[in-house]
Amino acid sequence: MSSLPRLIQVFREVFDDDTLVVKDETTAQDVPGWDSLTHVSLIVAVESEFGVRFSSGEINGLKNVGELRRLVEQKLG
Amino acid sequence: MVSLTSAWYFGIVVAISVVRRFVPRAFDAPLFVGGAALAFLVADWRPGVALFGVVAYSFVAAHVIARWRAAFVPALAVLLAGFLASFWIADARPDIDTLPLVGLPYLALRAVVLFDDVRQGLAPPGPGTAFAYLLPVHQVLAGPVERFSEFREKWTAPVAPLTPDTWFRGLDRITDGLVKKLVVCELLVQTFGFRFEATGPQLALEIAAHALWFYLDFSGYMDIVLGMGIWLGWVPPENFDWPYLSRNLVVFWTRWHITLGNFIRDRVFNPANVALQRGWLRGRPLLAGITCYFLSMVFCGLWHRPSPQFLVWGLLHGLGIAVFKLWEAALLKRLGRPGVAKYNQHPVIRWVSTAVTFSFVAASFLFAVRAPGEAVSILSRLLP
Repeated sequence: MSSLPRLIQVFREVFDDDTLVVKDETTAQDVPGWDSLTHVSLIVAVESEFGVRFSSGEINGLKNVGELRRLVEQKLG
Repeated sequence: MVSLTSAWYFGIVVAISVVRRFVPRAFDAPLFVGGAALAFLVADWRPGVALFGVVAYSFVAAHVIARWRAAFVPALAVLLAGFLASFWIADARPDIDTLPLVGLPYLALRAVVLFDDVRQGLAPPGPGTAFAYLLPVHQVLAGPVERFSEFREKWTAPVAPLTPDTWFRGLDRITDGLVKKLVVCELLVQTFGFRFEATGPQLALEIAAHALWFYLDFSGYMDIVLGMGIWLGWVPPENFDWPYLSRNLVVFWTRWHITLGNFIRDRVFNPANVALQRGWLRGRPLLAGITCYFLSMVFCGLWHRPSPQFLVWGLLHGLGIAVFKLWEAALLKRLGRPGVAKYNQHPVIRWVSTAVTFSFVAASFLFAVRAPGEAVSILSRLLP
């Protein structure tokens, strides 16, 4: 089952926007306020929500929401 | 003195560009490494020996880290000691080419990237690839700081043929750089002098022109490097994207010296911020972020030169970003995300914030070229 709906909830909390919708293709450029600071807050919030841990290489290599989703699903097995 | 704008340097680059297309790929590394060595032999062999020594050390250290990950921190410590020693030597021996002052910091950052990637599981490169990555013939002076994974992709990709279009595209970019560095920058120096002895609006204009000179000189260098990269068949990443049109300092650092900004984000800001938000500052992202912005900008300052002058410059940028993030947080609280988006779209707000950001950056450059007390004294003369 896709983890996207839960990820969307995390995005809404981190960016404080109840109407925010993200898709696999969504990048930082598409979401107002997604900068270096909120990126880390988002990663830590995702870790907390799914009970996973990301390495620094994984955090730096993410290019869009789809890559984040696949990484989460890969870690959840 | 090693100079990217000298005829013999261009000669070396042109020769490698041509020969590379006629010999097997196995000769790529000897060509690039030999070209860098020749560049130093023609100018001043002493900094070349120092830089090649650091490259050899980094190559060996990367292989040691691949075997024992615990060697990562000691390897960084030795690199840092070498970095500090180069500044000490440059100060003590002014007769030696000052290239280590500008070249070694870039080499050190590439070595850090290599160490960190190897620590995270990357297979360490062979000697030719390591030397070509760490000391590229067209990027020995001032970067950019290419990621090793990006370099390896280009290094192993098929080399584009040298067509008239390739020559013209490279020449076009190089001409941009030469015009910026040798014509416009020279005109700015002749016009303003950059002694900062004026007062009021005239001084403000001089400070703005000085910031323009910084941009044109550095981005001009990058144009030359990129043009040479087109000829050589290995184009480094872009390093500038209209930085003075940035509306805040966070955006500025994604458009000025982009590869350094990426390095600092990936290797300093992100790891420190993740550690703080997972630990001591859990649930306090703004405080964690501001702490890490200060840390990152101090690193940035001291990387340029380990001196009180650049420490102050780094702290100033940390302070500037902190003020912006606090302002942004206050706006978010008051207006909400949709309200802030609307606020940011207002043309007057956009122009004012761009002007404020440029003024801050221009003023901060004074701290890079003058002692902190002197820079403050100059800035105080802006007031009536």
